[in-house]
Amino acid sequence: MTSTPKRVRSVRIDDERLAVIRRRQAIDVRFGGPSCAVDGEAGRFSLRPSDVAILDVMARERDPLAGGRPQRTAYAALAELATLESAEVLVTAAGDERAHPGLRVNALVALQRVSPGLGRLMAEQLGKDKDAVVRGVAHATLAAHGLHAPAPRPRTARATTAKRTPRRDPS
Amino acid sequence: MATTARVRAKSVHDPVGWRDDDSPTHVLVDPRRAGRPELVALLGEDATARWMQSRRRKGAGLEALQEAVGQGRRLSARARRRLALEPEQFAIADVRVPDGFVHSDRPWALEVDLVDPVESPLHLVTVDVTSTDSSFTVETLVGPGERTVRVEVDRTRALPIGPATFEVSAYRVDGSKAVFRRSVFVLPSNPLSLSLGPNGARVTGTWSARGDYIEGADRFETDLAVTIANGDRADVTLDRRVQWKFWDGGVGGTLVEQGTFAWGGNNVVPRYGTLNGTVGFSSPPGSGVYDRYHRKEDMTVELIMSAIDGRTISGTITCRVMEAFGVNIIKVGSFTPEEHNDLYAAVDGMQVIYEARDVTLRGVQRYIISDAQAGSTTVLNSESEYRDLLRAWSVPNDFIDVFVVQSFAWDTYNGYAGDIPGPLSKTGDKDGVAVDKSGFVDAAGKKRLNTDVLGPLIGHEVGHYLGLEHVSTNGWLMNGDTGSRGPTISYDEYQTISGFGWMVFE
Repeated sequence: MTSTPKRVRSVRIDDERLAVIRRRQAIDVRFGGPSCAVDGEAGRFSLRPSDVAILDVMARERDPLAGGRPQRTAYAALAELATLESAEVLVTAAGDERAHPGLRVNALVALQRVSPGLGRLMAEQLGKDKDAVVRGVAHATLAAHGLHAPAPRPRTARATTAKRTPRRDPS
Repeated sequence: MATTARVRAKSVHDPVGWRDDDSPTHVLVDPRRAGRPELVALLGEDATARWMQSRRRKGAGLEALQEAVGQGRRLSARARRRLALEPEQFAIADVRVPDGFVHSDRPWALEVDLVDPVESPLHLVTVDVTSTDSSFTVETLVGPGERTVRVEVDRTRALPIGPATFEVSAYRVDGSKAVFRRSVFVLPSNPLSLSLGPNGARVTGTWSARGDYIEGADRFETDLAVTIANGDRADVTLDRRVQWKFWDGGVGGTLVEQGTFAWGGNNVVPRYGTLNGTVGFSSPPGSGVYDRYHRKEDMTVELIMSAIDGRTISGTITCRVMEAFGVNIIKVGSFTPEEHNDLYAAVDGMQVIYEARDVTLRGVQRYIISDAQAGSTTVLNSESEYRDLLRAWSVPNDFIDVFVVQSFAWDTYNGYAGDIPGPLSKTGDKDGVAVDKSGFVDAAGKKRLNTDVLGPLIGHEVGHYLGLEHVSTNGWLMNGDTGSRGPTISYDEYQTISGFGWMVFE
């Protein structure tokens, strides 16, 4: 049972030096980052080309307590903006071996949206990556370009076969 | 037959760090400011610390220190991670409550420690406060060179007794951001209180306790978390006898059942601290509580305790049977042990979101599909790959299949549900949802999952399966965008969920 919240006034600072910070806050909350594929909605918040500078900052942040959230938001936004500067940021992010493979995959996919040509080049480089997940996505990207038929990855069963039950996770 | 009660667990708890998902203190050392003991502790040897200090005395800035380290000064991987040598290593190292507690209805303060390798002309610190009855934001500007910031709040923004959470963010003028979460249990300034909550709940807010039907034993269990808070400077000793009452229609309505139990063991509430316990009620057939639960009627539980100095405290909470659904959590591909733990912490978080709207989980079953078995579907590149995964795998029960994949490489999406609502049979390619596991690398260099993102993300996709559509309201669970999503489920949405075919009363 949820009670009716009490109204307490916030304390906010109005200072023109905070313009970039306010824009960052708007991107965090109103752009919203990666989204649910149901309805395929994205980009309800209008980004500006000048936002690339903030998005670059977000993509490079190394605060582990943020849990990769700024990076995912930045990659989604950079994919929307689709500028040369966006592509540069995404190339760096996709190649960052310190980052979680899931984040690198997100950056590669965003890069592919910004520039399929650069996406292909990056995928060629990442096709030899140490991480299997990154390698797999790089191979799939190359295959989509009709290049480098990658070592075939096993497909899962089709509708004609009976469904399988995953095994119980003992951990 | 009558309801019986007993204490299941008790502990003394510091009022600061109340939630178990507070941010850890972040060990990040600014080499331009740290003293020798701090550098020695980090670098592990006095010689390197001396070297670092001598560089600093010669006026070496961040770039010069970076360059020197890059030119071969041997540092361990741990030291490199903890030495703030790069501009991007902007962080909040700690958030402290100066007195060690926050009193209800009184001004309060936080101290925020910043680590910033860059001399930013100013920082903005924002604190998003959530208490049991309100949420608001307090902002503070920080001048150049200040690294410990005191955020002070006046009496008009005093907090009520109970849990409160501070989500602290610090910004540089270039827009870069660092975050930290600190939680407290706000102590009574009057100065003794008793609060009740559902056992196991972690979020801040008020909601109901659950009457849980134990099928094999044919009885209802009601588990409550009890918090006795002492805002005084002296310890308080409690009388061991605790009185309980179940009311129909609120306190003072019809008394359903009552009794007492003994609060054994430690009964001292420490000064400026809390004593916590779990109390379980067991209601067999024939008891008034069993009958009310069986008829799906709400009740109010009241607990009354006394201090040996004669003061009496009491707390109440609504209790009810809840509708419930089950989930099969299916890991697709490899998860590290830390990622595994984070995944189930996220599932707990999802349960809390639904329980705040009186819907619970009837079970969580754990499954795994290995990398070899999953093949290309460890990463979902497209809707067709998602459909492939669902066509190939399912768990034959009436729980919702939740596939947690290594990553979504499908546009900038991170989750999908095949149909709204999902089917009631495990056939075809719409009988499950999929989410990106939302990984990152933590301060120790380990792969982790972001539970703050993943819990609501699973809850969102499951919400589709239960029949919920997208909304555009910020802070609602069914907002399609991750950054705009929050825990709110509306009453209308609750009614939609309630009609889903796999919901059962638990």
